[in-house]
Amino acid sequence: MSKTLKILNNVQELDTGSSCNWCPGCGDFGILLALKQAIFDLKLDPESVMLVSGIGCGSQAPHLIKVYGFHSLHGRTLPVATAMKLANNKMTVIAIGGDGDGYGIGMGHFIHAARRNFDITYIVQNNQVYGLTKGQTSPTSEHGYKSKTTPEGVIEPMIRPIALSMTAGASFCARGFAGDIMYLKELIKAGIQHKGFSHIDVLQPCVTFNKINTYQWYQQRIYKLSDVEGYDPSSRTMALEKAEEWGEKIPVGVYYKEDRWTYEDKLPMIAEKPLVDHSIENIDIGPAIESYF
Amino acid sequence: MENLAVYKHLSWLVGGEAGYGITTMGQMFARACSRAGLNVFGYAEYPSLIRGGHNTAMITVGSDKVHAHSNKIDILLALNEDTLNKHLGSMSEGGVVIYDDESLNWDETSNLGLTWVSIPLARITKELEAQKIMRNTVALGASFAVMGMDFSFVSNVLETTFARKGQEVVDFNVKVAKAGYDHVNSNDLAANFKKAIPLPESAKKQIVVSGNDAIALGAIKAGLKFMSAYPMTPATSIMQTVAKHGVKYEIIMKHTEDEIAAMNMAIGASHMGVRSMTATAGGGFSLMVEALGMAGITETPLVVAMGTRPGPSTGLPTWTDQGDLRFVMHASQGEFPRIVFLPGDVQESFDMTLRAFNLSDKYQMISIVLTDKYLGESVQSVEPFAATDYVPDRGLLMSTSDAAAIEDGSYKRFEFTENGVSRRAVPGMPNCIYVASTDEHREDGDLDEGSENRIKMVDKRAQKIVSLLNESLKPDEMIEIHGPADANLTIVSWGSTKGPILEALDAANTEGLSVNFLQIKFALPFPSDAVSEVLNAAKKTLLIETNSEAQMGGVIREKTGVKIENTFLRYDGRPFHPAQILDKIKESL
Ligand SMILES: Cc1ncc(C[n+]2csc(CCOP(=O)(O)OP(=O)(O)O)c2C)c(N)n1
Ligand SMILES: [Mg+2]
Repeated sequence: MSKTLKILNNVQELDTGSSCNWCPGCGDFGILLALKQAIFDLKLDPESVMLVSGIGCGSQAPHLIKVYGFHSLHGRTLPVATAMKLANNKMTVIAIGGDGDGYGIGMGHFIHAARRNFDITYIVQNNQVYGLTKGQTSPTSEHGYKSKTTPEGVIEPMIRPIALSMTAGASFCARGFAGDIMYLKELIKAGIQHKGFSHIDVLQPCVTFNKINTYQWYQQRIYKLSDVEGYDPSSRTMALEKAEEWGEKIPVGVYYKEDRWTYEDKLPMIAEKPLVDHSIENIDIGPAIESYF
Repeated sequence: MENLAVYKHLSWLVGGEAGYGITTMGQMFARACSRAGLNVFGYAEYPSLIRGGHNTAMITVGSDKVHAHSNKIDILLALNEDTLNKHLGSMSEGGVVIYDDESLNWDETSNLGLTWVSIPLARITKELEAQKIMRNTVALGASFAVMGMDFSFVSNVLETTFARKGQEVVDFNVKVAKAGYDHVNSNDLAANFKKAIPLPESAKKQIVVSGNDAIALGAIKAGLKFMSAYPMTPATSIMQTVAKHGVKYEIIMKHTEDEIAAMNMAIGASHMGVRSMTATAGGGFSLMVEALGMAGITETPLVVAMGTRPGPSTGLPTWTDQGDLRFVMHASQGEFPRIVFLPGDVQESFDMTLRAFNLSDKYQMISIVLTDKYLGESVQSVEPFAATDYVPDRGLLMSTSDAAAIEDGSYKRFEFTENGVSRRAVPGMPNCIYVASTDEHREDGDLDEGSENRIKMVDKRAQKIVSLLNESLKPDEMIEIHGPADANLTIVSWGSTKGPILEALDAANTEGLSVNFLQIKFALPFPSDAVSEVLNAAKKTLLIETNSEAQMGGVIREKTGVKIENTFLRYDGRPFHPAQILDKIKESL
């Protein structure tokens, strides 16, 4: 599939004009803006970008950015997105979905996608609640968090997404904040440019349902890893230590980055060209049936 | 007195513990017979265990087509006492038992009217300084001597089987097999066995292949580029066969973390424009169900091979059943069209898979190829697959230049059209940016919950099945009448029961009974008119299925209004065998 490259003149060209049902002040707006800016800054051809989401408030994103989009099932963002990369590895594949989507129902896929180190970027809109279904507890809700499904407070401890993706084998693990769009944009750009599975957990206030982890709450706690003297994202020990940090202080930035082979690197079938460009005419099954005589 | 017409074939059965190499032995025997020009059908039974437990492979051979296994054994190769205990009762008159009386604790060899061929398998193996497992090779040689067949067929198969390991290994295997062959002949052990199968003058070239492998090979021929699956009996060999040929045919076969991922990945890859599939059994299909609907609403073509085994839940993992017909027909919430193919034998498994890829692409629809343990894991000799005239039909999939000719911003992925099928651009193409969504959407893919749009979209998707019937699927492809056009009894069935029915049908008509067989080849869309016509003209009908609820009977009643009174159902996990169907035919007439 060869086509002429399209260059955007301004970021507004990525607008679809579709209406959006996010609440005013929702962190999803910040993430959407950062993502659009990142695509624009990197001069990506929107026709070569595949944006895949699951189901949740944030998963409406593909309807709001003029790139190829797939709005899949709750929790299945990653299987769909990773297979898309395998089918056409020339595309820039970006997966986006909620914390419930990725760390709850889709957790198994998350771990395995990280381990396989597909060259895709995975942005998690982590608002620590189930937004679309009206505010229930999510796997990243803090211990003791009260919601309609946990009226007495969450019993289990919250999961640590960065520690999970990192130990599973992701080669780029970062965390951003929806309230700092410029910084988030840079993280997304770095994630897209990184060759391998780039996991970007985005702390995102839910103004309607999450009355605890608000913009203000985050602003008081967040600090940048890039401002920490001596912090080395190639160090697994440093990264793991930071991945555990939550409470008084919450780090954002690139926690971990490693150069390693991607899943696609090891596939001779796509060494020359993407699967989608292979001809399927006149396939000779002679060699395949030889062993049956 | 047994019925000679049914038992005109010769059946060889090897039995032993799991881990004894029973499957490999069965394959080698089947291939050796096939190379001699005989037709073969190989059926294996094994429990859900890796070691221990009783395993058998039955190879039925004949000079004409063999459609099924037999309930009678002509040559029993017993590798342990258990095999004798379990199978002596199924021996045909004058049959031969090959066993090692030095190793087995067995004395009662006199009174059964059988020929007992005692051969010291273990001792011969030891004397030749061969590994213990190679007693199978001795026994293979002995089997061919008993059948009075030339040793060259055995050496020939050993040669190709071991060629990759070098001439020395080949020679050694041939030597070991020859020892078994010679032992039988020089002691004239099988002199009493009279059941010779005439060999053809010149052996036609044929392959011995399972239904599962036929599906895998069909998919490869069709241009499969991506498969994602998770192992589950009886479908596992489909993914393994595709994986084996992955590098050569440039196909990515991904063993996923579960069947949910398998299905979602297959859809993701297909959406990007490559031919893609998954394969599973009922349990895995249960996990795929939600995503099946995603393919439905995003109008993504996809081929799913589904091999059933008895449920519910884990059920009888290594046995056979047709209990998932209704499940695949209705699985997933909501209403959306799908095609359900019902192959009845190895050749149809291959042909229907090829067809499935074309129809899925053309109608941007899911195709399910429904098979089962009996068909999927049994082997049959068939003419070598080639399908050289096969042309992949990608329907309304656009090329990059088609897309480039479209005015940017005007493309509608889900455009309303007369036959319900819309032009398909895939991501990466110029000028056609769109979103595919599992939420209800407008023609351009954007979300719309409005009533007018909803009705149009439901109708659009439904229209595709109407168009499929009008344009592509003809009644003579959807049903087949076997036997005389006009008969006193019409058997109605589908899927893997075809084999045993054809055997019984042949026997019945040879005996002068008047029976035919309506084979239903599609569950969806259902060939209502064609089935109605046959059933309304039939004098007497008999429904045969391997399930307890007569599911196809229910479908027929729903779609045609015809209730089939007589049913013959088997649901113990075992396939029907021809003799019991013949008995039922006689009882029904
Ligand atoms: C299989 C399945 N189970 C449940 C739902 C209902 N559901 C839709 S979105 C959602 C949770 C959304 O939470 P999250 O993924 O965090 O996204 P958010 O809305 O917070 O952005 C649930 C449970 C569904 N759509 N599918
Ligand atoms: Mg959420």
